[in-house]
Parts: sequence; C-alpha cells; structure tokens
Amino acid sequence: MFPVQILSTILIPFVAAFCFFHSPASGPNPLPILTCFIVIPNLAAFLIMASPEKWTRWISLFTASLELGIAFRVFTLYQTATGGFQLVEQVSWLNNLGIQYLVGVDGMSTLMVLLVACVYFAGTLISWSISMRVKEYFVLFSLLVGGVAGAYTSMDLFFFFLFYEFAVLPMYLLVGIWGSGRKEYAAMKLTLMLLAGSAFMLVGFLAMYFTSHVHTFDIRVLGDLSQTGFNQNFQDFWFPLLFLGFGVISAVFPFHTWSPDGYGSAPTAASMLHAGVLKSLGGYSILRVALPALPQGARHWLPLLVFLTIINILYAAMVALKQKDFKYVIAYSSVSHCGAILFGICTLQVAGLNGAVIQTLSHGIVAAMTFALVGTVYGKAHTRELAKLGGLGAAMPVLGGLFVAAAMANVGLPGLSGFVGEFLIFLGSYRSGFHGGFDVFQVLFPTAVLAIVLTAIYYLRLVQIVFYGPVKDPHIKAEAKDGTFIEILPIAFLLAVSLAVGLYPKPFVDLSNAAMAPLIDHIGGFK
Amino acid sequence: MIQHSWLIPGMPALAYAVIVLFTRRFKALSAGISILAMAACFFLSMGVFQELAKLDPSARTVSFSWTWLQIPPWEAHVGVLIDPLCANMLLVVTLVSLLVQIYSWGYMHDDERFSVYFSYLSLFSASMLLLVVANNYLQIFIGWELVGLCSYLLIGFWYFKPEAADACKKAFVVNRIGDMGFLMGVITIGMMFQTFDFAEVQKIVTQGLSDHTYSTTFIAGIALLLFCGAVGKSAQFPLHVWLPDAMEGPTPVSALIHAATMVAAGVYMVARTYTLFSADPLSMTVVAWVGGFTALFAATIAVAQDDIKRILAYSTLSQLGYMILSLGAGGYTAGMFHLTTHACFKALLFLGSGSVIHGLHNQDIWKMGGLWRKMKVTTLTFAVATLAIAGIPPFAGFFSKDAILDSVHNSAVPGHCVLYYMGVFTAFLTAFYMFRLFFVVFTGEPRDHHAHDHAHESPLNMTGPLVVLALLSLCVGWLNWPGVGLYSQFVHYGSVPEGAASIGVLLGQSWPTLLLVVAGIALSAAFYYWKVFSAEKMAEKFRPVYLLLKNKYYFDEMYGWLVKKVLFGLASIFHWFDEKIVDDGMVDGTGWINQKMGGLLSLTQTGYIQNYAWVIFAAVAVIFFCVSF
Amino acid sequence: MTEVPIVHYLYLAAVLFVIGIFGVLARKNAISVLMGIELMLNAVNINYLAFAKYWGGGNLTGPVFAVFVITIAAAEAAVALAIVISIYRQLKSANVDDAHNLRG
Repeated sequence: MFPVQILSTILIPFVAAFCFFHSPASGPNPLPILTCFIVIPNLAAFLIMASPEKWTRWISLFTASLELGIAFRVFTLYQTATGGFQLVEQVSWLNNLGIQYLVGVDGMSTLMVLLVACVYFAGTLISWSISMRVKEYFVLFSLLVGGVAGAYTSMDLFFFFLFYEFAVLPMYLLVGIWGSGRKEYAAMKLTLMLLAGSAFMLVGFLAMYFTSHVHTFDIRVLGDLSQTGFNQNFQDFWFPLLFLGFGVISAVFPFHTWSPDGYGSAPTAASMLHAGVLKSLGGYSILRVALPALPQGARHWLPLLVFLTIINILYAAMVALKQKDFKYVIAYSSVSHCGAILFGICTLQVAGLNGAVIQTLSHGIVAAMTFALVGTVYGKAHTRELAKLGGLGAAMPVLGGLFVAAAMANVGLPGLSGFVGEFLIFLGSYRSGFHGGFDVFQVLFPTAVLAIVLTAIYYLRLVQIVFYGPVKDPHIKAEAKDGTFIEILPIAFLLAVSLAVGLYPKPFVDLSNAAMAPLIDHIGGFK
Repeated sequence: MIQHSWLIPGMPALAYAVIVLFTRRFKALSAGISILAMAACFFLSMGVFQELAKLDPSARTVSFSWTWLQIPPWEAHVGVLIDPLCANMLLVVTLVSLLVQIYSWGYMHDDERFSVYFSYLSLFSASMLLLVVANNYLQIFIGWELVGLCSYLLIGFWYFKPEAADACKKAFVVNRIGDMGFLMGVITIGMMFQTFDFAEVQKIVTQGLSDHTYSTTFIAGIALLLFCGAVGKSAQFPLHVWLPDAMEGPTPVSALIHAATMVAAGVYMVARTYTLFSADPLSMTVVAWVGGFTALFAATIAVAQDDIKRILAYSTLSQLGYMILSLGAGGYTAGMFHLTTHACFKALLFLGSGSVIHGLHNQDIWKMGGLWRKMKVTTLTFAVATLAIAGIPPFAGFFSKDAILDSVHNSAVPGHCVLYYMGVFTAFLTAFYMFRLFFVVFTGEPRDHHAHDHAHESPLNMTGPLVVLALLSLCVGWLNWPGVGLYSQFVHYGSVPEGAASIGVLLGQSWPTLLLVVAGIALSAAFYYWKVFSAEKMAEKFRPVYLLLKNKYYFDEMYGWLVKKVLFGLASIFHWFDEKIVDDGMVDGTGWINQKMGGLLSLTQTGYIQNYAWVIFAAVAVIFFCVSF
Repeated sequence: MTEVPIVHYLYLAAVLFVIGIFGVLARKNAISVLMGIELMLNAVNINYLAFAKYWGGGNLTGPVFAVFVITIAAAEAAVALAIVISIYRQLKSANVDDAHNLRG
C-alpha cells in the first residue's frame, strides 16, 4: 500500500493547490500566490519541528507537492503576451530607506519557480532514506527551499539578498552534518566562497542604491535608471565586480572549486538543490540585476569576461575526464554547464540569452537528476570510487537505463532539455551582440561547440565504467539491487520534466523570451 | 495519405513508449507491438509513395510543419517534407526495418532483454524516419542525433561484454566529432538565412548566389561543415573507425543500422542539401575525393580480415564511399539508387551472416566452411547478395554501381579520371573479397567439425526475410533498366531527370569493369575454391603489406594514441592545475594566508589580563595626549 | 573658614586614580586588581561631586551620576567576585596571570 500512500500524498495537495489559486482576472485570490510559495516551506519547517518524527517525511512531501501545484499554477497564470512582471505583491517595509517587500514573476522567474518546485519535490523523495536526525534535516531543507523561493521571486534587491543568505546558511549545516567524506572542510569552503561572492554582491547593490539618488532597491527602477542614473565610469567599475560576485555562485573559473568539493561531500538532496537551484541563481542574477542596471558596463566588459566562461566550459570538461570519484565527475560537469549558461549571457544576443535561461532550467533539472542517481547508486554500492565500480547495469537495469538517459541529457541529446539550451546558446554565440570591430565570438563559437564532444567523452566514460562491462567487485554485486519505487519516482519525474522541455520547448522558450526580448532591447544587444 | 505521413515516425515512437512503460515483462507482446507498428509504417509509406507517384512530376513536393520553438522573428519548426527522395528513403527504411524486426524475433529469441531490444529498434525506426521526413535542417539534426543514441544503445546492447562497451562509446564519440561540424553548419544556416527550412534555404541560396549576396566559397564552407556530419555518420575516412567496431552489436542491428539505413543517412543528408553542395566545385571535389578514397581504402582492408562481420563492415564502408563519390561527382540519382540497392543486398548479407552465426556461434571465417550442405537457404540467398554486391548483371548492384562509375566518368570534378579508375579497381577488390568470404564460409570442407555438426538452418522467421531480400537484391536494379530508367525519372535533382543510357551504351561502357569483376571472382576462386594458389604463402611473401591491411593501416592505434596520450595527457595537466594551482594554491592559499595573518595578530593576545589593561591605559594616554596638544 | 579649593579635590582624585591604575596594572592578586578598579571609580566619583559642588549651580546631574557609578560598581564587584571565585575553584589560585587560557 506504500506507493498508494505516497501517490495520494503527492496528488491531493498538488491538485488542491493548483485549483485553489486562479487567474486574477476572475476575481482576487484569497491568498497572494507568490507569498504562499515563499512562506509555505518556512511554515513547514516550523510544523515539522512541532510534530512527531514519524510525520516528518510526510509533512515534507505534502509541502513539496503543494509547492509543485503552486508553481505549476504560476506557470499557467503567466501571460507571455503581456510580458513584464506579473502577480506582483507589494508591501512597504522600511519606507524611508526605500526597502519594500516586493515579489513578482516575469517569464524568466516563472521558469525558475517551476524549477525550484520540481527540484524540491524530487529532493524530498530522495531524502526519504535519511535516517540520522530526520527532523533537523527536513527543517533545514525546507528553510533552504524557502530561501531560494524568495530569491527567485524578489524584485527588491534587499529582499533578494536576504533570501539568498537565508538559503546559503542551511546549506552549511546540511553539508557539515549529513555529508560524507571531508564534510567539514567542504561545508566551510562552500559557505565561505559563496559568502565572499555575496559580499561583492552586497557592495554592488549598495553602490547602486546610493548612486541612484532615488534610494531604491526596486530592480525595475534601477533598470530605468541605467541610462541616466549610472554614468559610464560607474558602470565600468561595478559591472565586473557584480559579474564575478554572481559568478562565484555559478562557479565561474577560478572560483569554482567549492563546487566539486561541496557536491562531493553534500548529502544527495543537498547536492540536487544546490546544483539545481542555488547555483543557477548566479546566472539568473546577472540577467536580473547586472544586465538591466549596468548595460553599458556589460557591453564594455562581456567580450573580456566571456573568456572566463569559455575556460569554464572546456577546462571543467577536461578536468572531469580525470576524476576518480563518481560524484566529482558530475560536479565538474555541472561547472562546465554553468559555464555554458554564463557564456550564453555573454553573447548579448537574444537567442544566446534565451539559451542561457533554458539551459539554467535544464541544468537544474538534469543536474538534480544526475545527483539523485549518483546518490542512489552510492547508497547501494557503498562506494563512489570509479576504480571499484563496474558492471552495475546487470544488477540495476532500471537505474542504469535512467543514468544513460541522464547522461544523454547532459550530453545535450535532442529530445531532452539539454539540447534546447545548448543549441540556443551556440546559435547566439554564432554572432554576438557587439557591433563593430573584431568579434571574439568568431573564435569562441567553434571552441564552445567543442564542448559537445568533450561532454560526450566524459559522460560515456562514466557510463561505461560504472554500468557496463563485467562486474569488478563481487562484493558490490551481492549487495546491489535495483532502485525501489520511492527511489525511481523522483528520478523518473525529473526525466519527464526534461523530456517535456526537450520535446516541445515552445512554451518554455516563449516564457523566457517574454523576459529576454525586452532585456535585449534595453541593452541594445543583437536580435 | 500524405497528410498522415507524420504518423510514420509517430507510430514507432509510440511503440517505444508503450514497450518501455508497460510491456517490458511480456516478450511476445513487446515484439508484436513493435513489428505491428513497423508494418503499419511500411504500408503507410507505400500509400505515400503511391499518392506521390500519381502527382504531376513537377508538383511532387508536399511540405507542412508545426512551430517547435520561437524567438520572434526567428522560428524553428518540425515538419514533414514528402518528395520522391523522401518517399524512396521511407520505403527503404520501413521495409528493411520490418524485415529485420521479423528476423530479430528468431535471432534474439533467447535473450533476456528481448523487450528492451525491440523497444530500441522501435526508437531507432522512429528517429530514422523523423530524419527522413524532416523538412528543415534542425529536424534532420535532431533525428541524426537520436539515431546516434539508438546506435549507441544497440551496439552496447550486450553491455557486459567489454568490447561492446568500448565499441558503443567509440561509435558515439566519433559520430559526435562529425556532428560538431554538422551543428556548426546548421547554426550558420539558421543565423545567416534566418530559417532552417530546406525549401526556403534553397530559395535564399539560389537568389543570393545569383545576385552575389553570398560567395560560393561561403556556401561551400557551410556545405563542408554539414559534410563533417555525413563523414561521421556514413563512416567516411577519417572518421571510419567506429563502424567496424560497431559489429559488436547483435547482427540484425548491424544489418539494419550499420549497413542498410542509419549509415546511409549521411548520403541522404548530402542528397537532401544538394543545393549547398552543388553551389561550388570545391565542396563537390572534397565530397567526391573523400568518397572515392574511402571506397578504395576500405576495400583493401576488407581483403585481409577474418571476422565475417568485419569483412561486411568494411565492404559497407567501401559501398558508402561509392555513394558519396557519386554525389560528389554529380551523380545524384546514381548515388541514391546505389543506396537503395545496397540497402537490400547489404541487409541480406548481414542477415545471412547472422544466420550463419546463429547456427555456428562463431564469427571467424576460418572456423567455417562447407556450410552449404547444412544451410541451403542461407547459402543461396547469400550467393545472390554476393553477386549483387560484386555487380554481376542482372543483379541489383550491377545497375547502380555502373551508374555511379558512369557519372564519375562524365563528371567535371578535378581528377575524375583517377577517381574513375579508383572506383573500377574497388569493384575488382569487392568482387575478390566478397567471393573470398563466400568460398571460405560456404564451400569446401568444414574446418571445425565440432561446430559444423551443430550447425543448422535457421527458423522460418529468419529465412523468410532472407528470401524476400534476395528477391529484392535480384530485382530492384531493374527499376532503373537501361533506356527506361523508371527510378531516374522519379528521383532526380533539379527539374530534369538524368538521362538513362540505353543498354547498348551501358554495356559498351561497362565491359572493362565487368571484366575486372569477373577476374576478381576468378582470382578469388583460384585462391579459395580451387586452391591453385595458397593464400598463406602470398601473405607470407608480402608480409608487411598483409600486416598493414590486417591492422587496418593502424588507424585504431593512432586514434588510441591520440585519445590516451594527447587528450588524457592534456586532461592530466588540467587536473593537476586545478588541484594544485587553483584549489590548493589559490583557494586554500587564501585560507592559509588568512590563518597565518591571524596567527601573527594572535601573538598580541597574551591572555594576561594586565597586558590588556596596559594597552588600554596607554592608548587612552596617547589619545588624551593627541587631543590636548 | 575658607573653602577648600577645588584643586585639592582634583589632586586627591588624581592620586586615587593613579593608585587605582597601579593596582590594576601591577598587582597580581585578582582581588587587589578589583580593589584598584574600585579606587578608580571612586576617584571619578570625587571629581563628579567636586565639579557639581563648585560649578554645578545646584544641578544634581553630577551626584546622580555618582550614585549610578556606585550602584554599577557594586554590581560589577558582585559579578567580578563571582568570576574570581570561579577562577579560584578552577585554578586554585587568585593570581590573574594564571588565568591566561585566552592566549592566542
């Protein structure tokens, strides 16, 4: 009866949440939808603290399904034809400082809301097997989700920053307590590097706040100010700092090393959430804050910064080739993919930016799926050393098949989400948005396309080592079994999402373009 | 019928989904669904073909599409383009797929993962048909990548064998290298012409060439990028290395994917995008020379191989080289015609070899011999296919190969004379090695008596497809009967069909080739049937040459070196840099510096409370002093 | 009777303060150190009162402050003595140099 209970705990809240909220056109909603999206995980954290431990997982799953329903509703509610920020909720908070609670979604954040909910849902199911300090784990996990949910919907930089910090700190504990390997070192490294990045971010925000004279954190206003409020020198000075500050979150070279160590040690669901959702925040913030507010700085610096991103793509792929730990390969692959996202942004071209958004979504889903698979396999084989793994395909055919699917999604096979993003990014990089002079992208375009070969090499090497060939360690063979229902479900769910994006990308690209096309007009990029 | 043609890739895709999700546990049901879907596809294709044939020759292009993604003003579509080229390819793919699936029912009967196998076959058919019906560059690329995936899955079907695991990875990666070029070509088209649609690109290119908006060199550049993909998928030199290794997959898969259909996709793609290729002599020359060289190169290797499937694999390479050569030389119809006939007889050869392997559980031709006594049907059909590939009239290969040589002879490509003689010599080699294979395997005395005693003819569901294919191998060539040329009138580039030579002219031209082919057969018989000469002694005498051929010109070793030493060497350097410089140096270094600086500062923290008090009072005194004076 | 000039008070306070500083900096016994602190506080109190009397013009701010200082000194002494007792229990010594666990 176990699957029935699980499925009903998923479906009932999902449908309920979906039906509860309706279009603002047909009367006001009884509750503000985005605030609910942010608050529910936080409420769940308190609820979990207050209730017996045997309920913990079920509450968490219930919440995750609720969130999924809400996210799906947001996805259907957003009107791409209208564009701009929708479902805006505004409450003034510290009026004389110009700080307000301001949430809303545009096309890009709608996709991110969907991403957060999907990864939260899958992560909750994957965490079912956690047995140590269950309550604390799920409390922190929910708080983390509450943080990222807020970060992706905030339109006010103060709250954006607040929610971001809210998300980073639970991660420290999740890695430090439930991790494996050198977990304390990894947790410290991850948190310190991310906080260092956010320091840049904060200083940049404050600089904009004080320079603008309007004293506001509202990103819409900051975007409008970009032409008049911020002069060229200001933009040239602050853009690279903001880019690098955000870049640290997205593991831009040379600030990427927190990523392999962090993911290597983090518990599965934390890796999923971090790689899938938190890491995407870097690229997202560049698109959300840095580009609209500092367009001239962007045009000035991006042709140089793009070299960092291309290093990210190729360098991380090369390093992934030599890794000896299953999870480290995936971690480096994630670094490489994030490089592709930033590369897409650097093109300043409408297809490239759309590609970056779709790749953010896709990388979130696919990285989460891959980490879920690695975690599940690790749970059965009890080792992640590639030298000891081998021939697992016979013992776990379903997991093996899913891993091949995940690998293909990473490799960018058409039909899965990775292709759409990568293709659009490459398309954008063919001709960048910089007019006049020598276009670096004439060199970078073929270089970036090289990534599709390197990615194939290291992923297929991984598939071959872990799942193909004869069984290397008979000890593993005896213990290894195929995934159970509760393990397969989240992975299959993420695969289905990836398939949906890959097979029919139009609704997703429409959403991202609703945000990107005006942005390109604003920056004066290339269509 | 044509408006339902989207069902042709749709049905196998549905079959795949149904098998994977629901019927994995039921072997017969899975196979049944897959075969049924394929049969429906075949009949639908027949219908499409019939309807198309009824149309006026100038109106034989039907295209419709749906928006797949959209970044205004730029759009990408999925769609269907039915024209004679497509209809031809549809028939070939669906028919061979159907036959191979029926055959597989017998061949794979004992396999544990029977359902999975059929699901992969369905997925393959779906992607291949998606590629075939594509009406734009993006869709053809999508289908292209998906067939690559299926090829990967099917080569690695017996993934527990290390060779299969290696081979599937190699196939995918080598294909990806070609696809890199293809992708760049597709993107260039998308960005320069703002559309992916074949017809629109054709219009823009023709227009642009006539008013000199685009230089021919630029178009040739795009064509050559696309051609990289064809080189990978159709296993042309220098990306040919994956195809022989792909023989680690189940034999029906080799027949379907690695002989008849998927590897021909490269040829199909070149034919499909012929506007770009024919714009500039440069691209045509490159295509022709790559094809011609591969044809000869692979044929020489095939002479010295011992594994029945590998011989066939190299012969596939060689025949694909012919097709590419033909397209490069301007023989559009001839190339496509050879693709069609080749699909029949090469599928037959592989299925025949599968039947042999099924009977003997062995692939080494030197452990076979005298099999005609045990396997009558297999021997007979195999003989038909051998004659067809060697190009003996009236079998199919004769007509198509001859048309190719003819078009090369009349071509304007630089060095076409050399290419022509290369082609003729390849025909000689083909006859030689194919009959070598035939004589060694089917005639003479059994070499391994133990295996021979167990050998048996295959069941009906395996021999049935063999017979059908044998009939086709005999008759398909007649479609382009000299002087009549039904096929030439149906499939052609541009509005005017290539003229079909009359039988007199044809024989007048082709007698030297024919003579050489017969000589090749005779030589082969002298070595391996009558044993007038000893092959071993010849091999001993020309040992360096023999070794060179047997080791396939050491290409695998060279690529192995490139990957192991160069790529992984570079990766080691990067890894070292990442670990030591970036991580230990920069990141942990920052931590280290902070720690040391903290250490220095902490010297002031003596822990003696009175030291602190001293500092406080001294500081107050100093401040007081400063303030007051 | 002539009034004592304010300078005398200030001298007294200064002497007391310096004695207090000496106690804090030089004595090793924790109790002595505390006594030093008390002396310093009282020196300040004398200053407060002296200034209030001569220049305060009836304003009570100075005496009130002094009362506060006394109160706080009492509280501080209570806490400090408690700490000293704790330290003594731990280390069997009231010597401030023995309590240097916070050395960096």
